[in-house]
Amino acid sequence: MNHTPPRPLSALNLVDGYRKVPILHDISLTAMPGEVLGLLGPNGAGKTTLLRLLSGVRAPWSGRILLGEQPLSALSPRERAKHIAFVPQGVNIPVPFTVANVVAMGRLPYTGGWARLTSDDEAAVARSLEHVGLTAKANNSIHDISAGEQQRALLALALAQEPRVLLLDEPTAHLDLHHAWNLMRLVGELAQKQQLVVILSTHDLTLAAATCTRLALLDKGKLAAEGSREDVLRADLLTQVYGHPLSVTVAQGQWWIHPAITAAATRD
Amino acid sequence: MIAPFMKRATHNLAALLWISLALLIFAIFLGSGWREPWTLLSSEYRSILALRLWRVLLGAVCGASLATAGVVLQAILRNPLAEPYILGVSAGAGVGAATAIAFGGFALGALLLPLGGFAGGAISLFAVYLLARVDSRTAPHTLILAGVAWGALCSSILMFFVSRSSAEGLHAVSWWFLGDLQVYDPRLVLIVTAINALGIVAVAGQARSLDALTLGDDIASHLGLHAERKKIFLLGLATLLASASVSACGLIAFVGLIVPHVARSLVGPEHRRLIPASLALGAAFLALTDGLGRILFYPVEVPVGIFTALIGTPFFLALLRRKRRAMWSHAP
Repeated sequence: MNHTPPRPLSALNLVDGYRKVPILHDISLTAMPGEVLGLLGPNGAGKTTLLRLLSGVRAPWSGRILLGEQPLSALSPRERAKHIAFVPQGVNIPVPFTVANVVAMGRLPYTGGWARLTSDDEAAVARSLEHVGLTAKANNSIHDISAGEQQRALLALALAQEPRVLLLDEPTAHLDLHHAWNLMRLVGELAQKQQLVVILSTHDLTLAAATCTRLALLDKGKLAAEGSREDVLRADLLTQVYGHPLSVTVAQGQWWIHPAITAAATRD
Repeated sequence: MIAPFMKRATHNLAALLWISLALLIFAIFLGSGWREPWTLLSSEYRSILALRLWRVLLGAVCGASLATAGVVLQAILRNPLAEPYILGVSAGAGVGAATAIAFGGFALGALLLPLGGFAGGAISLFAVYLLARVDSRTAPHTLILAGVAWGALCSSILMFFVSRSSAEGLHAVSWWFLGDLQVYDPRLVLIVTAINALGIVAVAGQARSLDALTLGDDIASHLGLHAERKKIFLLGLATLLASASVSACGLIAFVGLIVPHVARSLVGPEHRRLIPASLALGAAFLALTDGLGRILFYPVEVPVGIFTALIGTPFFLALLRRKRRAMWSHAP
């Protein structure tokens, strides 16, 4: 178990880009333990770049990221990997590792290059498999399980790092509705139970509205809105940011965000 | 819950190690004219036994090294067809070693050969990687094409060396094409053994990093690795293993391809098992194939490289055609 106290993750005035082309302009955000922060925004808004910065593997042009009071840049990569885990999108696993093999890779920051798994390591792997409900499939080849299960195996790999911060880049992108909603529910439970800071990006606004505790909307590298559903999911704002007429319907406490069927939308 | 599978893989690994050792010992007794083991151990055959031991040692070291180099290249390049020979590293090392001979002669050879080989091998891998890189991505099949083309270029340079060299120099260079475990200089065998033993230990120390790198740079760096640095280090080690082998036994094709694939199917893809399994299997495979080359067409000895190519080419083509899953087919 990670015995460090839960700490918030904060970004202060982040500026970043690729090859001198700026992508993020002055982003400041704080995510608290136990909450699920959903990053929204159209393609190219800078969601993935922001997540990579928050994970610490990429250094921003300027600005700082703090875990509690500690700057991420002060941690060694290995130390950082014990606190922050990242589930990238579109992972291709070329050889038939077993599910247990894949999840055990999450122990790399603890074991180093050759060492055997200690009983602590094995317990962490077992717990992670349990959390995502893959215990029964631990010895299956990663190629023989469904896409939803693969995504959960990658989530278990991240959990095996016993992190304080869990970042997910479009975790539901290739999942059908059922698996997508299950995964998000699971992530929400984990955030609560383990007091994790969870930040994830998604294109599914309805799903985000139902499962994220807080939302942040990125628009061309700037923070367009941040806060509760009421603050962020406003039809006029979403329409402007996504460049497509969108409507928000609230009924029985559920939020639906869907394209507005208007003359403007149907014309092209 | 993890235990049952782990146990099976461990059994397989232990069995593989014992069988490989037995095959290595068996290979000592293969040679021109079969002699009963006890005869070979008697004092009048001592010199023959010594020759055989050197030869089996060289075969074991080169087989283990080429297999390990194949394991590393396949993991880092995320390409199932990667192998020192296919990637042109072996031929490049051959050119490097031939250049070392041309300038230093065999007198300085024992040390100069592996050095020249490493220089040639490293330049080759770098060149092939750059040639195959398009828009900062390396498509698996482009890499193989670039490697084959580079290998052809280096082979023709070697050919040029042969055509320009004197009669006795001719022999020294021409065996590189064929891959031959004849021991010309025991010092060279010792040096290569020492270099490659260190190289293999260094690779084994990165077993878990190799697992993570197989999943891609992104995951590896989030697990706390300096992915770029680690990859360069490991590619350097693979080049060293392949080049030192080439400088002692010439161009031996496909060992680095066949052995890791067979080992993977026996003990699984986890590198903590795959590396020991591959090096044991590689050692036994090359020493044994060489032994067969000594007896099959007696009194003519067939260079071992011819056999490995005969076995390896169909294997390579089968892998190339394999459509199983996304299995390696679109690895970035």
